[in-house]
Amino acid sequence: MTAETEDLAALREAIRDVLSTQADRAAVRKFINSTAAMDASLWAQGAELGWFGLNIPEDDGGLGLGVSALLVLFEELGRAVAPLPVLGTVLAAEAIVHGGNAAQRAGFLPRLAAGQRPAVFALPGLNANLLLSEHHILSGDISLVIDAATAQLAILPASGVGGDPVFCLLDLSQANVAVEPQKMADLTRQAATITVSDLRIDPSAILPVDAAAMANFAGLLLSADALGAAQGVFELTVDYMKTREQFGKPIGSFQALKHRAAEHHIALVGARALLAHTATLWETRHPDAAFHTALCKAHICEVALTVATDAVQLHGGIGFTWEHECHLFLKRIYLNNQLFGTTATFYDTAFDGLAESFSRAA
Amino acid sequence: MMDQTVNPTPFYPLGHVGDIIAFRAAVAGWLNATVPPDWRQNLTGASEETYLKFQNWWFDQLKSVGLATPHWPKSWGGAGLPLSHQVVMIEELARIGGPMAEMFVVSLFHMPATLFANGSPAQCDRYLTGVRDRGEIWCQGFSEPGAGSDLSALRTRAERKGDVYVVNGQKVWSSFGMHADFCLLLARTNPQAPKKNAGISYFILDMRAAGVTVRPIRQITGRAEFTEIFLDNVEIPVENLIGAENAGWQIAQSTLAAERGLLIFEHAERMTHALRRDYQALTEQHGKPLEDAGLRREFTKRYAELTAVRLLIKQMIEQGEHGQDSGLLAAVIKLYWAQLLQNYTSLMARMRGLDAQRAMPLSLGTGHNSGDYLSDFLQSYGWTIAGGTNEIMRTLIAERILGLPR
Ligand SMILES: Cc1cc2nc3c(=O)[nH]c(=O)nc-3n(C[C@H](O)[C@H](O)[C@H](O)COP(=O)(O)OP(=O)(O)OC[C@H]3O[C@@H](n4cnc5c(N)ncnc54)[C@H](O)[C@@H]3O)c2cc1C
Repeated sequence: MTAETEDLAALREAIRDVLSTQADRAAVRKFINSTAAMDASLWAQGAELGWFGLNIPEDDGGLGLGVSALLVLFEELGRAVAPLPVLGTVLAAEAIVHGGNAAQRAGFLPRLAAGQRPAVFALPGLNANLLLSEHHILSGDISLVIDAATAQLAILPASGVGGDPVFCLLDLSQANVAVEPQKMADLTRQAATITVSDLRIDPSAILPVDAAAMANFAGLLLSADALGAAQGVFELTVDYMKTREQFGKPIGSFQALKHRAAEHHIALVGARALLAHTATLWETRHPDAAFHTALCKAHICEVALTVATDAVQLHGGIGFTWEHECHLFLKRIYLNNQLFGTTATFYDTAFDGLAESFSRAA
Repeated sequence: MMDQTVNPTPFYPLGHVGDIIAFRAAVAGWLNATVPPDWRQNLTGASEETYLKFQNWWFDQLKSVGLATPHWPKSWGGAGLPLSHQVVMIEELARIGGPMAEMFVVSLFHMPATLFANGSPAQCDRYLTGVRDRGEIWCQGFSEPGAGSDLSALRTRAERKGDVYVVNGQKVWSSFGMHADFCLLLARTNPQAPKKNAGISYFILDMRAAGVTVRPIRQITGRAEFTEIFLDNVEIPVENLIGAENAGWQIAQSTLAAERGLLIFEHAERMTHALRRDYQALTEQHGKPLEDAGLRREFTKRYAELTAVRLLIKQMIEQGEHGQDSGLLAAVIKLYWAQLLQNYTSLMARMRGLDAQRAMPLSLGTGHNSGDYLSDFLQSYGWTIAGGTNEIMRTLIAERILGLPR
């Protein structure tokens, strides 16, 4: 509903076009039933089209189209529940853009942009048990790293000397590193546990990373993915309500159901406006961008979960089947809700930012 | 202070049309010089008479600088102010928390929207001038005891007898009916019409005509803002029929559309400032910012929704500027806003704890941020019930936007 610039609209159409053949119902289903850790042909297609470098500056080998373009990509991926482990790569690139030295930028960014090195990024949390000794020896493990099953490069959080969090850039294909894939309830994405034994980290590979900013950036992408997925499952649901008949009429003519659909619609319209606005705040480097991002993660993921939860209910028995795609959306949105912080933590972050913005304005 | 009728202010916003920054400064300067800082206190516990006087005074102030009817086209004596300037005017009004000309809402929005589209030149001339120059007050006589959401079931009867229609029936919930000079009246002219909504006509009713009785109805807030209107052989001259006989239903749609748009914009802008004041007050009250995690998150969620609805309103205004029809977006905004307002005012009442539960003196005309939190919450039903209930809006959105079957 938000007026989108022509460029973004064209990008959206191009992405949707690719996904409608490469990640249509059959393709998604095929991936889920396979043992593959990722859909290699979809990855190759995305790489060719520059999806992984949408937000990487042109000087670093990306397309430099900005955050808005990236959000379009994530929204469309969510809408198609596309099995593309792009989040990790985009986050790693963001961390290198902000914290990498010239050599790292030159060495990694063009290859990340080209999709040649799938990567991951993780934040400290209960699942992270990596220690970096004073001699820069890294060991321990970190579980539930999203997209890690297929990654070659990682930026991982470790406890440094005195417990200070540090971020280490490492190649996952080394002998001292083991990657154990972990299937998720969300069938369209995979994670892994990464175990590191006595790996020496070069001091230059310890990146300065603003963890809060990265959590926010991840949150923004996840909001877009959740919004797209919610929109996708809502469209399915409205279509179903028009065709499924009970008591001699389409179930969509029952007012109790109509009213729920209307509530979902207005919530999604509001969520979309909030996301588009936040993207603008990013593009203009507005001081309120950060807290609006937290607001997006909390609010949009919450709205999306409400919509997806009800979508299964509105489908009845068929919605409860493995065969039907409702659960793919529901599980993907559920995971988005939990990744990089919960709805509650993001509301708290947003509140603090709002309070700060009030005192700034006062 | 309220009796001051002339305000010798050097600010004349309409002299700055075209220069939006200067216009904003002039509006702000004029408001600062004009709005009495203690107007809210003066209306707390005030009599209906004081309220009426204040509303008239405020309208006169706006009028004196051409800001009462700035949104009317020049051909009808308005300022033809571009939408962008109206937006600025509302923003400034909200920023300083100035009064709303709420008694004049029908006069300024519903009546002109109806007459611009359907009125005869003579009607426009007489009644638009009446509002613009004399501050005439209008009310809306649509609802009846048996016709609310199903407005087409209305039974008030108008029978043509020579040069007049003779009207009998009863209207209910008419806001400000006791102060109104005129009423936008829907009545049935053809009871035999095959469809219920085909036999309805639209009239201008003079509230002082013989046979019109108005009785205030006390509301849950304690205030008697709306009324019932009894019509007993009231004669309405035929020239007061708007549009063609039996075309009232269609015409009424243009009246109802006026309820959305800029009106919600003004309320949302006011809530934006109220939210900040509420945040500051609550922080002072508790010594630190909103300690209770549940309430704090709810507050933040409401902020997200307020941000969203303001963005949607901006979209609607932009569509309006480009002459696009934004009726469906307006329906989304109406429902979104009504629920947000109710949830926000309820949250505020809960955040104030027992304090907000004491009976407070009536606060007249202070909108949804009167400082009496429970009363603000109660007021919010005005949005969830009037102008299409939330349920009616949901059905409309489901059918007209989502295309679900009737
Ligand atoms: C503060 C206030 C000011 C008002 N001012 C004016 C005014 O100035 N002039 C005027 O003419 N009117 C005015 N009204 C009246 C208002 O337009 C009506 O109250 C409204 O249209 C609802 O009609 P009702 O009260 O008869 O409720 P009803 O229509 O009887 O509704 C009762 C309940 O049933 C629900 N319902 C009804 N039909 C359906 C359906 N088909 N599907 C699902 N649910 C349904 C409603 O949503 C509501 O919850 C005002 C009302 C309020 C509260």
